[in-house]
Amino acid sequence: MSSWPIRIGLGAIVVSGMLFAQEHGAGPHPKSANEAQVPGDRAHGRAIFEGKGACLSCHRAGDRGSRMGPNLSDIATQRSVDELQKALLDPNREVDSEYRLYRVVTTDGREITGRLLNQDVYSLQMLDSKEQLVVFQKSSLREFNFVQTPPMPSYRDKLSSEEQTDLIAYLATLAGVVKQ
Amino acid sequence: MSVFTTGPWCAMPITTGESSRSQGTGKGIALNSRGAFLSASTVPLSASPSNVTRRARRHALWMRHSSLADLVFLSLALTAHAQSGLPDGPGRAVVERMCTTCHGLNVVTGQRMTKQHWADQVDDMVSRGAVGSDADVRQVVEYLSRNFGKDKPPAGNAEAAAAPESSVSGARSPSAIRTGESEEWRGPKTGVTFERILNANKEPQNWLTYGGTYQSLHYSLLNQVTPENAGNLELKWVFQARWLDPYETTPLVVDGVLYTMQGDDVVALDATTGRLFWIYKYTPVSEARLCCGRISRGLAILGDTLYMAAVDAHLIAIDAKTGHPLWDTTVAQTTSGYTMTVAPLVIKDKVIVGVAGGEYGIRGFIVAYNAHTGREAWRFYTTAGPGDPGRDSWGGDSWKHGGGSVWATGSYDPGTNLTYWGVGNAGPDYNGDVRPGDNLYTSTMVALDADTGKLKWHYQANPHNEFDWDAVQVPLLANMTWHGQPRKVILWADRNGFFYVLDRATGEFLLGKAFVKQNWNVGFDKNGRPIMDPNAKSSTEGTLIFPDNQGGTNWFNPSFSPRTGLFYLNARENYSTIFFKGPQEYEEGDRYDGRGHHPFGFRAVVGDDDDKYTAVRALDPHTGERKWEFKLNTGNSLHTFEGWQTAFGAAGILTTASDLLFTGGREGTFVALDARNGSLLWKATLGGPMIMNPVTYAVHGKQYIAINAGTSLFVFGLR
Repeated sequence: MSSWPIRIGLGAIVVSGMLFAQEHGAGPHPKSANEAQVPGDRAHGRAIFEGKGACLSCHRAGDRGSRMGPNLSDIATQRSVDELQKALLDPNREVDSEYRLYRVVTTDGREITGRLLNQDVYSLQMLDSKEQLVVFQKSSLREFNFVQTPPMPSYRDKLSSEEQTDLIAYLATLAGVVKQ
Repeated sequence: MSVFTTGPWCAMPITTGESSRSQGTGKGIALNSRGAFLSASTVPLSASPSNVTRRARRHALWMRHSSLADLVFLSLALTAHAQSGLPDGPGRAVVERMCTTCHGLNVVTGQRMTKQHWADQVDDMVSRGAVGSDADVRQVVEYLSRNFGKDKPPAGNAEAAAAPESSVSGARSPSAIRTGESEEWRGPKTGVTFERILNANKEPQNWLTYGGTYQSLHYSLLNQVTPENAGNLELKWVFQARWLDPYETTPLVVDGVLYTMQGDDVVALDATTGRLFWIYKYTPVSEARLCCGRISRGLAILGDTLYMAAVDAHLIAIDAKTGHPLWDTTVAQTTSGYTMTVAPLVIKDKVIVGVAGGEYGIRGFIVAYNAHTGREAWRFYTTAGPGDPGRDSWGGDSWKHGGGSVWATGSYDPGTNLTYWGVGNAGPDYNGDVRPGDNLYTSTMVALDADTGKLKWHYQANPHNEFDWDAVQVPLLANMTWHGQPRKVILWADRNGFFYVLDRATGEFLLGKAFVKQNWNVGFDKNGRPIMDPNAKSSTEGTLIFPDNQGGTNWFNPSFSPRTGLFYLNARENYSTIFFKGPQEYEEGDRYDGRGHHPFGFRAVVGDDDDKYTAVRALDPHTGERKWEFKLNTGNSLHTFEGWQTAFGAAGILTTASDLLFTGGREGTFVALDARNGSLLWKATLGGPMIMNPVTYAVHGKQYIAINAGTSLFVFGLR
């Protein structure tokens, strides 16, 4: 009896197992940051977030900060501590396309930048850099395209190790809307 | 060391041939001064460009693109200067020019740093594409450290006012999530301020609050569409809400953005095309008790925050620019029968809502929250309990489950600082035996102090009502000549079939006049208390009452036109109900309406359809006399549970300064009438029932009229 059917069968089992592991995780899912025990001084981390780290210049949390970058109000429920660390140190490893800068130039030469919210064949809907919801008919535009998205700077050299720890401790508290 | 970063829009990699670094190479992207892609070339890059100073690189870039950059930046700077609101002083213009190319100024005004930190920040900005000479940079650093130094007070309302792009609240509190922990917040200074809503008539192109203005006249000063050209109205766009429950949301329109709902979700649409900016999805808890469908009648906006009263009795604040939720306050426990259908009303620094669920034995209330924090400011119970005036109007403990729903939004008079709300019927609906007394403040118009919620006066249209007659029709606040004297009044058409005029400062009863067939009222005493026909009581044998339980009119907005001097409403003529009452015990979360032996506790009289109809009626508010009528819907023969909301319903009324009147009904025809005489000028058959309040607005000088029909929002404008 040929051993090929056995080999094929074993191979199918192996592949199935790999696919299953890939989909369900070969190991336990990492906890989201708000569920983890996170070391660090949260209050100091908040001071860094709002001061030295200048995070609000690009990000928004609650009702403060810029609407141009990713909203961090519930980042702790969406990222593990490890992912937060990586985002601080190597932020351009993963950039949400929703936050790429978009630029339009009107036929009369006005240049508007911002976030692209929606578009169709005829129009664009944006949140411009002045944080106004604006719409453009494409027929009134000379150019419209994504700007090559430069990186969020790495904080590897901007913050000390202790400051990074404290900042992550604060980020781990950003668990979304206050329910009261 | 730079500690400040801009958003990605500013960090343009710089390509120059001047670097002598040798730490490695990488692909650089060359951009012209407008950020357009020019070429990709291999350029030396370094993680730490210490051997080529940032300022040298900046200077090279500046020189390379200066002419084009001048034009672009000058135009941007001029725009920014007009809007920035930065403190005056040397360097302000340079800051506006250099900074606003990439980001708003709120990210500047919200910071407090030392001079060295500001210098590092500006340096970093330059490395990311901010353009300016060395002298410019020095000016910027001086300006920022002088006005936003470490020793300066934290950003508060003043800075929020100075930076129009700033966040909605302008809160003093630095809290990132729990907004506005300081209780000193007195309302936003940007976006849709309280002052703008107070003066909504000065911007008729917008629809800033549920009733159009605080007076809720549902009358617009827009007059581009006229009786002469209304025939040229055409469909401009449609928003198809993915929702099958009755679509009762009245939209808001603010500066070209239309905010409405799609079921439980909130959407922001471009008001000229209907294209979506963003959507906020909300899922109410599955245990929500809903007598009448998953309905929301609209939103409120204050600053840059929207407020939604969800059907599971949560009040939610949402960023109007992005759709992100800001806070979520549980108003009441939905498992106990509470729900909300109102569009909230914002007054000063508060957002006011009312709870519903009177068919489930709730104790109703109107409640105000701090619009910034979501914390309760005051509460008024619509069933008088211990310590409340009117407690003796409830026998025993019946006030505890006495109903008093608040189904529709109130009005506000800044002159009296009173907010006026209609309160729903008492519970159990059809059996008053368990609740002896007048049952204050059910089926009542209440006037509350807007700051404290204290009751100023009340007028009860139906003491001890057993016919499900909510008094939740929107109160219209008008200034009229009454018997030769100027008077500030409330014009109000009640479900019980009567049109009322009350003095809105004192609640004095001025007029009560039936506008449909009725058989329960034989007059009023000198204080306006109705004198009931002695037979007008719910009974176990059944009692025939005109109008029916859905009323001579219902929650949808009437309108008053100061031009015509007429009050307009959609009236339901010749509808009646045989009311049966039955025993009822209270069980938390279960229906508590005292129905009789019929499965629905009542049944409509079946008669000729031609006898029953809905019509637009114009009343003289001085007398209540009908001036004209336009038949909108024919009668329906049976109350069936499916679609009953739409069976009784009609749209509200919108009137304009060009003497137009817009409305629609359950048969799906949207009409434009001449408000002076009721003649039909234009109609559109939209294929679905209309049970919301049409609005009108303008963008770029073009007027639009919006109406929900079926499950979609239709917007019309002139051809």
